[in-house]
Amino acid sequence: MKIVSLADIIVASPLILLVLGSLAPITTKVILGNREPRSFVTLMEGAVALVGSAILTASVYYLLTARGSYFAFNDLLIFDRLTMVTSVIMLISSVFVLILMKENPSSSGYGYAELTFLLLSSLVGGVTLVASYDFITTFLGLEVMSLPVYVMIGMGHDDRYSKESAIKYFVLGSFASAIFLLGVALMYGSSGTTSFEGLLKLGVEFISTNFVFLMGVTLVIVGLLFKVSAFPFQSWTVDVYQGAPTPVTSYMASVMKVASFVVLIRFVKLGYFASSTPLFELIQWVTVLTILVGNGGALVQQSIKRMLAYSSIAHSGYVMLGLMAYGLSEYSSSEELIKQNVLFYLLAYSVMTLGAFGVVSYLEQKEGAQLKVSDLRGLGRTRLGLALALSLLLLSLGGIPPFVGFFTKFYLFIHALDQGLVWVTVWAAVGSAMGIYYYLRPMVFMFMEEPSSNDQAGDASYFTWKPLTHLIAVFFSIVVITIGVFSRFVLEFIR
Amino acid sequence: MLLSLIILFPLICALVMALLPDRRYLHKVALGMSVVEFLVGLVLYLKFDHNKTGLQFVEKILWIEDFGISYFLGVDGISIWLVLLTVFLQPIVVLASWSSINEKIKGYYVALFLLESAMIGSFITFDAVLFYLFWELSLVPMYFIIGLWGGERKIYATLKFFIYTMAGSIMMLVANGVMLLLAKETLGFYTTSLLDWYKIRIPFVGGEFFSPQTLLFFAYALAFAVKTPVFPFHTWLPDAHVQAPTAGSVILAGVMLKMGTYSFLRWVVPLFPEATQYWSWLFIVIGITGIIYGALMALVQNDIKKVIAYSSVSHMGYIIAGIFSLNELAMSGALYQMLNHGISTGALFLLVGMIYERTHTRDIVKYGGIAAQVPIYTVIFMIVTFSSIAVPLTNGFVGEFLILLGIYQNRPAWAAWAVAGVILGAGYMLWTVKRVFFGPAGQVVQDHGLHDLSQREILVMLPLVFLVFFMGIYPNYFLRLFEKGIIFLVENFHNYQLFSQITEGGL
Repeated sequence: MKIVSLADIIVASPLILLVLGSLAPITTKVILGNREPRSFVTLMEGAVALVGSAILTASVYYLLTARGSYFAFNDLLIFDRLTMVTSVIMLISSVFVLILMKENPSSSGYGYAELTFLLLSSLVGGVTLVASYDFITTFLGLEVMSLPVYVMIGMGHDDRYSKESAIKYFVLGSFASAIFLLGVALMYGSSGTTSFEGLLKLGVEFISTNFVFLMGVTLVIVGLLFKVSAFPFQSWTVDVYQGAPTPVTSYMASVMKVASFVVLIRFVKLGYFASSTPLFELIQWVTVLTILVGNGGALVQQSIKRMLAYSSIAHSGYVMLGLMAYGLSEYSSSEELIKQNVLFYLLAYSVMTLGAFGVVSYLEQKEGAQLKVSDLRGLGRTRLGLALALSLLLLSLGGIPPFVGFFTKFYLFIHALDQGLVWVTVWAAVGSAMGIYYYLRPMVFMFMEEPSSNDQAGDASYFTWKPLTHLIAVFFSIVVITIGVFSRFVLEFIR
Repeated sequence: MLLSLIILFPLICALVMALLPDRRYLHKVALGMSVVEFLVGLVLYLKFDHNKTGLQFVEKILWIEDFGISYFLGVDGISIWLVLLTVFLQPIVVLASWSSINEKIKGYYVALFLLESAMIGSFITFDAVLFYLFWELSLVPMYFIIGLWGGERKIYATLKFFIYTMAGSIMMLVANGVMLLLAKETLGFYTTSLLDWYKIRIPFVGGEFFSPQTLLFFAYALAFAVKTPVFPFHTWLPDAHVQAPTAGSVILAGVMLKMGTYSFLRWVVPLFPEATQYWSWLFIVIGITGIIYGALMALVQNDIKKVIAYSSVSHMGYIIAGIFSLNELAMSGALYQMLNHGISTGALFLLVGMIYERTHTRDIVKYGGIAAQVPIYTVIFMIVTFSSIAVPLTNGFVGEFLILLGIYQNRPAWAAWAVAGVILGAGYMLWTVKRVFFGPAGQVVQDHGLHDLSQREILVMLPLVFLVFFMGIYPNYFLRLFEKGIIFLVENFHNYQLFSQITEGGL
């Protein structure tokens, strides 16, 4: 066993910067005598840490590891293209989350410095997670990522829903972590290793004959499926997304989901899907039902956040479709292509979700505001830019061309068909058609319904002006068109 | 470049409309730009070489390398007519909207031009993904046109319209994926170019539903059948037509429905020849069922727009039956009828819109005896009605006659039923005319002093009336130009290697 080398430290420097950066806002607060610093200062501290870490990640990748894979800390962490790309996506997305937090009533003012600290700490876990190459670090990453979020959800001052969902998420999340850990223990007990490298070497025969090991694999999958809110572990998502302050929801829906899926991307390549038929069939059903439950549940929602939560469940299902294709693919060229397109899906999905939650965050006037779809009534008249932005984002989420949501979905469909998952794809398409109804409904209210006199959205002066949030929503709505049509450049980065 | 221009120009128009500061000139600028677009279409037509089969003015740029998706445009002897129909109807629709659209004018014209661009795009693209893109994109502006400027139940109608079409076409997306993989398997490379797909030989097992070609055939046919709409999938159409504003109805009937029938000709027939052959009976049956069902439904309606909407279902039945008769006569007839329907049904919707602006009712019961008050209107309405019920010397006659002849060649017994549809068609239209224009003066005449068509409205109708007669009296002018495209399609029907020549060209 080798000692930690200098190179390890350098490769891990983005993480170290993130840890130090996370301390900056609360240190400032302590220096100011426990008074809340100006939110702009906190935002800048957080943003500098995040962007700096992203730049550091990219430069470490391009300059030091020479675009190859580098295993650090005795193969506990891996720094490769996947790590770099997803870290950068997560870090940059978090900057937008911070901005949403600054202007949202539930998180601005008192407690913004603490929230920034918690967000950055959670990201430390997230970045560890995407770099983990051993189940020990995976577990560490998962926990470090989740723990601050439990607090962030419950930090609302006097919002009953936020407390409720914090407890709910904490109890269920811990339970899932326990199951995950049990799975890892069973795998270790039967094979004697927790590192991905070691597990890869086990061979198909060992996997398919050793019952204890297979049990462990199943439990690990259960733990991960919980994190990405796949059926039948999806029910927490809706309540927690609804109760959490909207910026925190957007963080959970984008950054945390990307991180959890990266673990799954690494996990499926261990080859358990292909080697165990019952497990594979199970995952197929999970995928189909995730898509159908997500889209079906969203059909009847009145609350915007609940609707977006169900939509996020459905999108998890589409990513899982891509993951199955990735797990089945054998030739390295198509394998890389599928991985690239799954990542593209995750990136596009993050952009769309952040934008959509950004609009919701804009419309919230007080803490714990439970916005209904019908509250959008007449928005097209009072805030045309915002209404158009939300329309584009929703059309993209619904998979209407030429927005990016269409292309990413189509690519995954092709890959799934290519790997012979025909019926799963057909069901996914059916789910996609179901989704159109609820993605169109907000547009009906925004443009086609006349604002009634006592409606909030009908009154332009009702909204406090949130320039940055507005900018984010409009910016992301432009992004969903451009990266869809000119996907070549994005794919070049992801490759 | 000409084809890119003809798609791009409406987009530019939409942008200009959105940015135009002075609201007073909106109507005039919109008219001017749509006329320019029509002229671009005319240039395309004049430069088009009718003696060649295959694609002309081809533009092909690789767009998404991983899957061989390209920006691939071209026109042939079939699609050029639908492009012309689209650019021809646009100025007429704009002119007709001058008085009927009074609020949110800006958004209205933006939507109208975006719609024009998407529809033309779907007619001239020869790449499956690009086609799907234009296909879906055309839904969005129409969704807003019905939903924002429509009647009382506009939201119900527009959601129904969008969801039906979208749900119908989602299987086309999966089928596109399958075709892409088949291309990789048989041709050795990823491609979504339609011309490459024509070369794919897809396994077909007669009588077995779950064979690749049959499944793919139905996946595409479902999308186009909902759009057309073919009989059991037609229920969105009357709702959409009745609730849409006049311009929406005209575009919907005149052009959008043609996207469905055109796609049958362009995609289903050449891509899946064996399945088409095998299942043609089914489509002839539902086509003829649609003819009779549409006519019977039209007979019992009291809303003028509904009468015309159901007459559309009936006319679409002719076109589908014509296409699936799979001979040259019926296919030329079907293409002719597509243009006819665009002109005559478009004209009928315009006329209904004009009278609606005066009386604010479409209830036939309230009309009666208006002929004396609006003589010009009556004459034009009669002419268009004759075209719709296929009286000789009007365009409708040529199309329906060719289709009936073609069906007779293929399946004589079914032709008899189709002819019954002609009689019913004459029945409901003439009965409607009688109830609206003649007889004792109805409530409308007593309440309103109706004034006859204004000069602008006559200007709107004149080109349409001209075409009704021109296409009825000189059908050979058009049929001669269809010939190459249709013969090419029919002759290559049994020959799998459907190689199409490509002619570069244009500006």
